Amino acid sequence: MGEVYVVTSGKGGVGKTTTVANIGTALAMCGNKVALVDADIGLRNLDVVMGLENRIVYDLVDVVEGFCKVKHALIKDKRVEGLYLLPAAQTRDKSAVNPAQMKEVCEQLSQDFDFVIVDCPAGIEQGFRNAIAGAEKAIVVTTPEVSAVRDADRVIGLLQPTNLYPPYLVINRYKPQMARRGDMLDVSDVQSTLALDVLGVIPDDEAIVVTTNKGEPAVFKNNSKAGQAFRNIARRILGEEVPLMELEPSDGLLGLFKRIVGLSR
Amino acid sequence: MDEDVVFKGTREGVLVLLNDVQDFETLCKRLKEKLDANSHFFQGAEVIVDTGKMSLSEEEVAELGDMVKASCGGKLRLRTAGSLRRTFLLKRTIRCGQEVLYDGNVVIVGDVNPGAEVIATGDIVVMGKLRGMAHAGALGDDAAVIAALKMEPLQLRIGSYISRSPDDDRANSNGPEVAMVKDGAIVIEELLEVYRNG
Repeated sequence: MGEVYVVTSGKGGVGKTTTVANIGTALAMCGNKVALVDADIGLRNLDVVMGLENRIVYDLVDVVEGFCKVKHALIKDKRVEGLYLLPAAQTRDKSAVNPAQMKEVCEQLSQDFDFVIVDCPAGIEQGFRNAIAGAEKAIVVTTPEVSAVRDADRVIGLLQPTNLYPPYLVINRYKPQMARRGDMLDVSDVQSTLALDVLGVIPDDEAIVVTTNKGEPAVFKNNSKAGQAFRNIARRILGEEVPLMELEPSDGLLGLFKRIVGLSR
Repeated sequence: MDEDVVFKGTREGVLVLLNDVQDFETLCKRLKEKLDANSHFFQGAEVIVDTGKMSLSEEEVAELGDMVKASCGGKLRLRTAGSLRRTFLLKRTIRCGQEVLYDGNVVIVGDVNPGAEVIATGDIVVMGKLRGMAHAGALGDDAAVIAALKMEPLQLRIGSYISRSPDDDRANSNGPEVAMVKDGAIVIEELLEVYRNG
């Protein structure tokens, strides 16, 4: 029996789908069987980010409505062995699925896979309730922005009475330089507000935009810092002790000089 | 000494004013003396006991009731600003969208995050950061207070008063502070300062 994770955030656009794609791919690269489930019915994205859009025949709604079996709707990834995607329907909406059906699908998947990762839609309505219904563990994604942290806090509150509490925390799109200048919330600000353990901090990285548009997760890129951070998260999920990445930018020669003469903080 | 217990005849019945600075035991003794000395006056009347800001436990209320009944056979009615105020202890962080509603005092061991609301008819104590909204004395008790280890609320309400955080540069608190109503406005003072001034 595999573990079912849900990746959620409350706020839209903080990187849930990117997180699902990258952590899922990284787990599969480590030799696990992984199923990614797009629960964002009507606004599906995960297939695009994974570059598998053109392979969709059946989707999640077809499965719950009994048109096909789960294994027929699963799309095999084109690059990594053991990685599969269960896409969302694009022509329907969130009411096409209920929590009990979602739970059933997750249970079926967890029999054949080591990890099932559900991509939750933004918001706290039915789509959210569907997505968390079958999960055993939750990952809350936030960016170091006040509004994103506020929504994450709201979602964590909603998870409190469930078996998903306490969730893991991923801080996405982190800009160390801005945080150091005090222009952005830093990791400890976010952590102290949300009172959760941090599973990973993903630095802001242009490579994410490029790889997302290409339909190719950043974890394939060895020189991407964000990709490295996602690979680290996967290793932590697998139980390895991996310290948080050093995100301080190197200051160059001038910085080195300043440090030597004691000018730099 | 006589001022600890004062009698007043009103249309509703006999009003007994207790001096809330005095301790409960002394008050009971004084009340009993007075009731016994004037038992004919109270015969069958409804006795309204005003305990001021004193907070009484349920046992203490029962004791008062028994005493009134034994002395004159009358019924006890309590009128008070502070009595029967139970305290609710909550050991967790109150998050955005969550609401704590309580008829009594509330003590929170944890933070109150932005977007969360704590509403109590009595006092509110936050053993952590208060960054959301707190309303003490929600049924109109302007004497209620709000205390927090770190006072950074979006809004404070005490009784019928309301105040919000300044728009410019959020005032960061350094230590424990207490909010209360003074001269028609909510003011925040350092906890130590409040202690020193009694």
